[in-house]
Amino acid sequence: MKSSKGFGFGLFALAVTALTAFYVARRLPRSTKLDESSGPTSIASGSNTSSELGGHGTTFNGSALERLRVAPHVYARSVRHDEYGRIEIAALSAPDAERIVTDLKCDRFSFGRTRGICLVDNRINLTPPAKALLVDRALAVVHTIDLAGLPSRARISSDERFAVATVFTVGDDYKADFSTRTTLLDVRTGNPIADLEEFKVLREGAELHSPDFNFWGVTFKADSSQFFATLATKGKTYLVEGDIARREVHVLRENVECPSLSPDQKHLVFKSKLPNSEWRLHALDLADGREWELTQEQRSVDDQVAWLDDGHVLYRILEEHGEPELALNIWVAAIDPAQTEPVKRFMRSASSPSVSY
Amino acid sequence: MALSALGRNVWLLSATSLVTDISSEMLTSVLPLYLLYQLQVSPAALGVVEGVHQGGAALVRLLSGAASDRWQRYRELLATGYGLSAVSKLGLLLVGPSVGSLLAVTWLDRIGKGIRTTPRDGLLSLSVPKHALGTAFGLHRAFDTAGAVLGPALAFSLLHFIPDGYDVVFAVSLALASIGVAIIVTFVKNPQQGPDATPAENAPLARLWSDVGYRAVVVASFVLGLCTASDSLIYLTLQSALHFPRTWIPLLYVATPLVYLALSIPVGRIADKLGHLPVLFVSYSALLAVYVLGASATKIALGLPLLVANVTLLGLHYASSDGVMMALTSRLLPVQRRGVGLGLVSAGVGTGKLLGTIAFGALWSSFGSGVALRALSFALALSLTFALVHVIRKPEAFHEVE
Repeated sequence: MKSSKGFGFGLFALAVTALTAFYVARRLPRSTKLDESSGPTSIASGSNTSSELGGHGTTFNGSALERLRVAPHVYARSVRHDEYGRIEIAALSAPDAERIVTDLKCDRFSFGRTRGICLVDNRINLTPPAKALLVDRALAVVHTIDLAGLPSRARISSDERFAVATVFTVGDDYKADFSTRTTLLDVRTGNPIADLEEFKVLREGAELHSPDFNFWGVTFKADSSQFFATLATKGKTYLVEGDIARREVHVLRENVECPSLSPDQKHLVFKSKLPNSEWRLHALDLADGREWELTQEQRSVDDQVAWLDDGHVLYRILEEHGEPELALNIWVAAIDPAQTEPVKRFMRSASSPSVSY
Repeated sequence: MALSALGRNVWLLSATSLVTDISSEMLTSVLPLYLLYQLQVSPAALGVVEGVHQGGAALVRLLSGAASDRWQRYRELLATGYGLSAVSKLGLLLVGPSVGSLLAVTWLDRIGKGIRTTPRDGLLSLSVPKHALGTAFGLHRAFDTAGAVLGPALAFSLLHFIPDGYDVVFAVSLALASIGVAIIVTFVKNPQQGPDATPAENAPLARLWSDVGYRAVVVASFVLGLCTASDSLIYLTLQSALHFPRTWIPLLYVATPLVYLALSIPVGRIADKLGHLPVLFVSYSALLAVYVLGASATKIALGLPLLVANVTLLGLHYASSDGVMMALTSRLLPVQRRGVGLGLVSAGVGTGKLLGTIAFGALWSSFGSGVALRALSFALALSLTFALVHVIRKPEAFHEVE
């Protein structure tokens, strides 16, 4: 009796183990080529003219990257299974078809013209929990900075002097709520300049104090020593305008998260929270203070948008259920208040876009 | 008592807790990443999910305790509890990724945990002689903690090899959970009912409440729970007081359980030899020391040694609180009230911790972490003194039932 029980249990355990092993094996990355390559940009994904996923990897020589860079292009983070988290460069004219996948793996990414910032989770090694990698034009790592949390937002200024990393620190707060840390970095030296929570916060000239200040979603102006960002305190979010040299920020308006400044410096697009905790994209005209909702996009958008041009923004959307490979795509919306253009898919299976002309 | 003499139920329950804890800690550790990188939801949603995780199911614990008293079917209740958690992991694999389904699945998992906790402690306590209760609970909590250390390590290793393999983490978690259920169903036995087995009673809570010693334990567990800050809070305070790099915080989440793991069995043995109450006093004094060191650390410049001391004290506190409290309570309770009795104590600790965290949060946001920690130290010192005076005045109330 006893031994038959043991036998039954053994059989069950064996079956469970075999099934699990089968499941794990099936999900191991299909291509091993990726790990053998040495150069940061030695991997190419073949161009796939159809919108089918999983283009097969083909090696390419470095000149392919430069060929793509001659015309306007976009950097993004691929979420295709074989390339998960790798930075890709694609032609702006056909981002799903003409693209090159690099070896650089990131969870958040932002690129200027010759420099970029890549935030990568490092929990496998316990500490540091994450790293910011400052990369050069070849996407080779120049500086590494330790970060204390989950990568959330990354931006580099257009003159490539400053970069900023926001991490989300789990359980770093007294009420299991969320808490963020936003660190300004000097791109040239790789040194942290300041944590935004060290900056003086002013509202209508008066200084504010609270132990619960959280900053995130920095966007730099063309004069990169100035920026816009989100400040959260006591359950509300505010748009703030900051100055790195003066180490202070000024509160401008309420219910603004993750602002992003247009290349012509005229508009901010940000997400604004609805009572049901969804977000809608809003635009703000900095000259006259007019604010309007981008009503063409009726889904909740939880991203810091990137600008395609002075009239269009890019953002990621998780479309319904399914594998992220299929569901996570970059969309494009016009900011025109007349809202004549419908939103459409811009790039498949990707996030963290940065456009370069 | 030698560990090998503890009997098969203790080892089987410990083994089940080990695999089940690996299984659930795998999920807990990857959940923030899953939400952020796969579901691409904002950190704010995490607060909700974590809240569900920590909210606990005090009422469920009490009810399942009552059920185990009434029918004495520990094995069946355990199978239900562990089974629900396993089913919830299957749910994670089957339903698509969305915050709503994640919330439902997490909730189911917590209900399962609520159902199984009390009958498990009850069965543990009935499977060993009274003089070995501390050792048995020590062994069980050591296995449980080992699972909490191994789970995240396993989950992150899987993600290392399969970067988008959250479903793989769910699958492995499901496999471990179902092996846990299989151990319960196949091997665990309900205690033999003697011919003099007492039938279930009516109004067990009222009877329990009339017992002075037990009542003191319930009140003390609730009040001490109120004075217990969450780990994340303690680490954060230590970080701002001792100025070590923030990037070390994840190390603390591993170091403390390792100390717990190392001390759990020896502390249980000591409790069996010297008595459970003295060990509990040492335990909460260690916690008090952590608070006081944290609150005064800015004045004494002893970075690393102080950090090591704090982590050791915190690990000692954990090793000598939960298991020893359950062992002590078991000694005070007759068999037919053990489920409800244990359930009430663990519900008391849980509710106390929840309320304490809320109060602490309010203090923190109004006056800063220093004031909050000093208030907590004061409250804990006061509660400990009251408890000590009570025990010294009425030692006979804490003698075990026959």
